Amino acid sequence: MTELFTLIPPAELAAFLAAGIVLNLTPGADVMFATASGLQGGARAGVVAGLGVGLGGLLHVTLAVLGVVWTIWSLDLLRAIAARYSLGASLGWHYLTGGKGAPEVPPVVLISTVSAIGALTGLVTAVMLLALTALERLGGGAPNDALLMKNLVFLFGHLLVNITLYYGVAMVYEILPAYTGRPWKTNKLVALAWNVVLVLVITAYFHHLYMDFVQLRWLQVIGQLSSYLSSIPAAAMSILGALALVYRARMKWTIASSLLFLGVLGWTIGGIGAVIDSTVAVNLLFHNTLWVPAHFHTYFLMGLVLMVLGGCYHIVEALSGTQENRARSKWTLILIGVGGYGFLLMFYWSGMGSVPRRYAAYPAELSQGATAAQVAVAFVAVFLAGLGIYIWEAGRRCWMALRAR
Amino acid sequence: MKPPIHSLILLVTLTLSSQAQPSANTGIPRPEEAPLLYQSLPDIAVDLGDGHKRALSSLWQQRPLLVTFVFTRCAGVCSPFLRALRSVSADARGAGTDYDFLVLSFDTRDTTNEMSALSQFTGTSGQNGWHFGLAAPEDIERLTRAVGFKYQWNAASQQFDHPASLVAIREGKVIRLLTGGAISPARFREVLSELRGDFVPIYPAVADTRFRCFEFSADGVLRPSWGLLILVYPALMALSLTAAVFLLARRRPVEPENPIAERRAGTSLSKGMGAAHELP
Repeated sequence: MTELFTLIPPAELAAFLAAGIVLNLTPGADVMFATASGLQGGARAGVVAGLGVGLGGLLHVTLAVLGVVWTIWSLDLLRAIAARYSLGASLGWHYLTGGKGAPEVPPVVLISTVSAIGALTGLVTAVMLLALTALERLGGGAPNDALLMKNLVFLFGHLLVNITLYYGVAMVYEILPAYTGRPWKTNKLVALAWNVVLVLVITAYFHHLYMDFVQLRWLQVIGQLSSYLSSIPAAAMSILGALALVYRARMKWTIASSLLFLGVLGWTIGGIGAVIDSTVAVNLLFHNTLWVPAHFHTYFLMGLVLMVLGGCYHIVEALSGTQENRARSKWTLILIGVGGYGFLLMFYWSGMGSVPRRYAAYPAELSQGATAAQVAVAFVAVFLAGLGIYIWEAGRRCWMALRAR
Repeated sequence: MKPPIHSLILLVTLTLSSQAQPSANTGIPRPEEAPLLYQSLPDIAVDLGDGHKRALSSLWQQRPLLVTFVFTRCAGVCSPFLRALRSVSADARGAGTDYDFLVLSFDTRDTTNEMSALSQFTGTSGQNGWHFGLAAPEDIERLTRAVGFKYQWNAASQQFDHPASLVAIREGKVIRLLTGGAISPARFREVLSELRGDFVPIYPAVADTRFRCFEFSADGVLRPSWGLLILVYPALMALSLTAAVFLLARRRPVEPENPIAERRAGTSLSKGMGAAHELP
C-alpha cells in the first residue's frame, strides 16, 4: 500500500504540490469573488463564498479525475487481455465460428472485454459532451442542438451504469464457481449473448428519450427493441447459468457466495422492472414516477452492491485466511435482505400509485408517497445495521490481512 | 492553473456578451420567444381609429390576437411584413372569425390617418379581422417591453431600427412569438393551431443551432441531419482504441492451466481458504 506513495519521486511530488498551492493562492476570479463577497457581506460571507468556489472546483476536479482514471483503467484492462488473447478470441468469436485450436476464454475475460469497450464508448461520449459545451460557451454564435446534447448525456450515463453492472456480473462468473465446485465456462451461447450486448447496450439508451417527441420514431423503436434484446441474452444466460451452477451442487453457502447469489437475484428483479419500464406503452404511465428509482435501486443496491460486497468478502476472507462467523453472517444477510427489499418495496408501491419522483413534499392527493418514505426510512435503518455488521466483519479481516503482510 | 482560467473567464465573458442575436443590419436584438411564453401582457388602452379607446383585453377576449409593431414612415420591413402577413393569412383563412390582427404603431408621431393610409398601402384595409391602432407612449413602452420588442431611433437614416415580430396572444398570454421579415405559411398555420389550443409538438427554433440531429422542413417533415453522426462517433472511437491496443500489444501464448481447476486447487485468491480458521 505504502509503495503507492513512492511511485512519484519525493522531490517531484514536493515541487508539484508547491506549484499547485502557489497557483491556487494566485488571485483570480474566484479570489476576487470571495474578496468582494467578504467586503460586501462581512467575513462570514467571504469565507462561505470561498468555500463554495472551492467545493465547486473540487467537484469538477473529482469528476475529471474519475473520468481519466476510468479511461486509463479500461485501456490497461484491454492491454492486459490483449497480452494473452487476440481481440476476436477475447470476444469469444471462435466459439461462434466453431474454430478449433483456439484458447479457452474464461467468461470474466469475455465480459471484461465487452465492458471495457462499452466503458470507453461512454467515456468518449463524456469527452464529446465537454468539448461541445466548451465550443458553445467559448466559440460564440449558435448553441448546440439540445436534442443532440440530451442524446449524448444518456448515451454516456446509460452505458456507464450498465457497464458497472456487467463488471459485477463478471465477478460472479469468476467467483461463484469456487463455492459450487462446478466450472462456469464460456460456450457458444454465452459468447453470442455478450456480443449481442456489446452492440445493443449502445443503442438501448434511446428508451430514456421516449418523451422527446422530436426524436425520430424509428429511433424510439430501436430503443425499445434494443432494451429487450440487450437484456434478454445476457441476463437470461447469466441468471440461468447461475441457477444451473447452484442447482443440486454441493454448494458452500457462505456470506460471500450468498451475497453473490442474492446480487444476481437483485439484478434479475431490477432488470425485469427496467424492461417493463422500457416498454413505450408502460413508460407513458410510469415515466418520472417512483417506479423508475425502484427498478434502478433494485439492480444497483440489491444487485451490484451485493455482488461487490460478496466479491470483497471472498477476497478478504482468502487474504486473511480466516473463515466467517456464521451467526454474524446470518444476521448480516437477514438484515440486508429484509432492509433492502423492504426499502425497495416502498418505491415500487409508490410507483404503482403514480407517485412522482423528485418531490420534497407531497400534496394530499399523493400522501401515499410520504407514508411510503417514512416506512422506507425504517427499512433503510435495518439495511444499514446489516451493512454495519458486514463492514465490521470484512474490515477486521482486511486489517488482519494487511498486518500479516 | 490560474492564467488559463483567467483567459477562459475573459473569453467566456466576451463570447457571452456577443450571444444576443441582432436583427438584420440593425444591431437591435431580436426578442427571444422562450422567456415570453405564457407570460401575461399588460392590458393597455388602444385607439383603433374609430374615436373610442378600447382595452386590449376586449380584443383578446373576443378571439385570439396577433400583434405586430410598426411605424408608418418605415422605409424597411414594416409594409413588406404586413403584406406577408396578409398573404399567409389569406392562405390560412380564419381572420376575423378565428383570430384578429392588431397592428400597433410605436412611433409617437403617427396619427390615425397615417395608420389608415398604411392599412390601404398594404392591402389590409377593409379586410376582416385587421385592426390598426395607436396607444399612449407609456402604454406602448409597457407593451413592447413585455414582449421584448426593442427599437431605437437612428438619426443618420431618420428611421427606427427594429425587428419584425408577430406576437400570438390567447387570453392575455403570449402563446408564440415569430421574428424576422419572412413568414412561411407552414409557420403561420402552426401559430394558428396553437392559438386554437392544439398541441404542436415540433417547430424550428429561431436561433441557429449547431449540429442538429434532425431537420424540420417547411413541409412539416422531420429528417435526420448531420448531428446524428456525432452519436456514432464515440462507438467508432472506442472500437478504434480497442483495435489499437490489441494491435500494439505484445502477446504471450495462453498458458494451459484451466482457471477453474486452478481455483479448485487453491489459486492466489483462494489459497489458504481450506486452512482458514474462524474468528471469534
